[in-house]
Amino acid sequence: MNGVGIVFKRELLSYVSTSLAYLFTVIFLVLSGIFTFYLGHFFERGQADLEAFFNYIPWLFVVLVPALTMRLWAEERSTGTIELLLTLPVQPFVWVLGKFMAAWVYLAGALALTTPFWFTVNYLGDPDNGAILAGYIGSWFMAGGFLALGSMFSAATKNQVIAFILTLVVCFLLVASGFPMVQDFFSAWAPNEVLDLVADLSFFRHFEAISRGVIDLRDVLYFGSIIVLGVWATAHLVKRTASN
Amino acid sequence: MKRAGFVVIVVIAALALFNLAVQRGMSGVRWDLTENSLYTLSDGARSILGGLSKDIELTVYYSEGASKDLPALRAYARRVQELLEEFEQLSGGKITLKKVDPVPFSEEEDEATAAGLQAIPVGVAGDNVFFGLVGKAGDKEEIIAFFQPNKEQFLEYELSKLIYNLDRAQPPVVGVISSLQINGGFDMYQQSQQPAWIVMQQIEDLFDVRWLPEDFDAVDEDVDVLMIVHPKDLSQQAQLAIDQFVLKGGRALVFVDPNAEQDQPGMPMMAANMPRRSQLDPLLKAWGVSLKENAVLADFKNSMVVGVGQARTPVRHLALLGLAEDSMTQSDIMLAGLESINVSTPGILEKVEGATTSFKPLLTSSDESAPIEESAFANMQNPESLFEKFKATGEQYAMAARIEGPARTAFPDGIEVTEEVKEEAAQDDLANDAEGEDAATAEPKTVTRHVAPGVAQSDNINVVVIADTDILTDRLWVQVQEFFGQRIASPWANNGDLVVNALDYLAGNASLINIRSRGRFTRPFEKVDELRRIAEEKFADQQRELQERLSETEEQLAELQQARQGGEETGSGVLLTPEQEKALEDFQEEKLRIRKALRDVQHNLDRDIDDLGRQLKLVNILMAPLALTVIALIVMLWRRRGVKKSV
Repeated sequence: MNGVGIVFKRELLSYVSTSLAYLFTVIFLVLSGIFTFYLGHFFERGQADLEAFFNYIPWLFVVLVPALTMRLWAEERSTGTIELLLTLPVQPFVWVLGKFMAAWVYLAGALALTTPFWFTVNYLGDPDNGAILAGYIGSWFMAGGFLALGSMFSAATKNQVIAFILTLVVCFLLVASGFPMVQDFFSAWAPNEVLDLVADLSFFRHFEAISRGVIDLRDVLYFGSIIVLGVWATAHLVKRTASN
Repeated sequence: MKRAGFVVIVVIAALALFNLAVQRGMSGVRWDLTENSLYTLSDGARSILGGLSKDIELTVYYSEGASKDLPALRAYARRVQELLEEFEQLSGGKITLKKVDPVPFSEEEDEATAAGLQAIPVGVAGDNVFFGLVGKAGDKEEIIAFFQPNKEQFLEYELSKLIYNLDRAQPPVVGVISSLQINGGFDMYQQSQQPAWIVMQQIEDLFDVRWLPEDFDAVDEDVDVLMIVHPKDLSQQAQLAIDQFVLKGGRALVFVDPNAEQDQPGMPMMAANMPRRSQLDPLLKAWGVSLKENAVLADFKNSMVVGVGQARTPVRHLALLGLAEDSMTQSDIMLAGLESINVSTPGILEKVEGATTSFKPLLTSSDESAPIEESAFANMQNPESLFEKFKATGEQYAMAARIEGPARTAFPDGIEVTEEVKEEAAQDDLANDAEGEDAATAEPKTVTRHVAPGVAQSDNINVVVIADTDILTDRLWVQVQEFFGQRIASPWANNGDLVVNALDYLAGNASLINIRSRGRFTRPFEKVDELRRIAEEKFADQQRELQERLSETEEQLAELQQARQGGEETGSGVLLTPEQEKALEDFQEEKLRIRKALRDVQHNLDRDIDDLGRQLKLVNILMAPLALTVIALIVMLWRRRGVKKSV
């Protein structure tokens, strides 16, 4: 596991030192501010909570996380550095986990930079800070789920654009699967059990459940299972590249 | 790529299967981070479930098939069923839970309809969706007609209440005396039948309500709590009956008011001069409390802003108060956890000098309060006029209080009762002479008799007095909607909870209070409210002065215009002299100027709030990104210097 730590450190440092990561963070912060204040009408609602912010977080992640993950493996594959990496005496799984953890911690940092919202809402009124904390935890879990899937698609293809589009489409479908636009597709023919399963697979549903203020083990297991399977699949795909 | 596709498919399939197992197979391991542990079963619910004495059968009717297109409802249905399972588990075998899918044209559908459950038509096909609960214990039945997803935070309370009602042998009896139409009736103003106030519906859900007749002279032995609303013109006998009830250990919840706005006379013409003050002074005095004479409480800090008609800016009403937690005695179980209570033209309660009882305030005003004369409200056209009579005294006043301790009767010398008796009944010994005569034709006779109080004192009375009756009206705390023929109440303040809490407490049931008080409705921006108040204070004088000038100018303008019109009609030509014409023009200009100045004042009122909003937007959208950019630039420069040095 020591190897994971080394990879994690190296990758995290690369986030801190690249202008792309700064750019990404700035876009994330500006968009979350605009969504919260203009689309979510945070100030006009007059309610001391962060609902206006958390309502848009899944949709922001749908677009921004694929942009972050597309280069995770696809770039290494297209430039050929992946072969170099895999010749090092480190298991592919260690690389995958290290890279994933670094990206996840980086996203935690980006979320932490939205704390001015938290200060604002506490300045204006008396919010339920427990529910807000849960909202942040839920956002971070959700970011982990998106990352794991993005990393899997990035490892599955050499082309960064394809990795981006695939991740975006799958993440979008997973966020929207509790909404009628996806449910309608199934409701014509599928039995209720299938419909419920599709709804259960919704990122939004689980995220919403956590951001009410309750961390249910089932929601944690949902995001956990996506992360574990995503990381496992990425490791499998990377290993296959190595063996080819 | 083919292989990669296979891996992806395997992952998605594994994810689906895993979640199918987890989401269905597990329930309820959760960590509740909310402030009031909203989603965790409360001690109150646990104590109700732990102490059940009867077997209860709960049947949840849920249209599995018809709710196909309603994913949100399906998710909520699962949550409700989980909570019911938790209830079943905690009841120690006393509760049995049954789930039924009332498919169309089935026996189950008929059962659900017969029990009174609500069917909601959905989709183009108009399928009926049932999602309700029928609870049975012996021959007792209670239902929840439809579980509404937007009321999740009250779910635990609704279920606990249903089970509590099913379990207890007899609900406590609440005797009600009211001179307001709290139970509905004919409204002379609207010329229509009005439904009962929502607070009454809530009380009837939990208690056995008994209405006392106007001329009652005794309170039934089995009445647990007496609720007295706006006592007025009560006979001496009735007052003595209340006095005796309280001294014998009965509990009372009393609503008195210096200005009961709902006290409307039968004839609208009489409204203006009619006193609207509650009259219970001798009894209150005996209990050690008094409703301050000729005083309505105004409180600037807690006052609310109200609309005064279309196209007019809402204005502040000094006697319409939104009381938040800091105005409530949170340590008192009746108020614990409540967050907002609204009152209108409340009175001031004071402890009577030398009283033997204790006086514990429950609702108090802020330190920016003052009493205002009742007469100011009789013909009030505009709430702004109250500012003229208001000057904060710096004192805090009690609007509700709990009275406990030893007390004496209000009628130590007894009362004289004058009543009409039929002659023959009064003179039993002459009954024989009246033989053959119809009893109905006997002459009535007026007799006066002396009634002495049976109980002269008590070691401990228990009375809660609230100095406002408007607190009970729907307009101050609840929005009522028609939902498929049913009246659905959505509370936006805790007035109803306060009343039911008080009755529950006085009747000796504390478990439900614990659950009821957990929901929190609103968390307003206190900072914005404060800014608005400061701005209003700052501009109030200016605004009033401008308004006065405006009405003066308009009056003068109207006079001149009338004079001109009169001249035109009589054919005597334009009567105005050139000077008057000039004055007319000046007034018109002046009017426009004042109106503009008024608009500016209005604009200034909101300016600070708008500025705050703009600043917060800027800070939140740009501050963190800007800071980050500066850091990035510094890091970049620093690294460049490092590279140069190493070269």
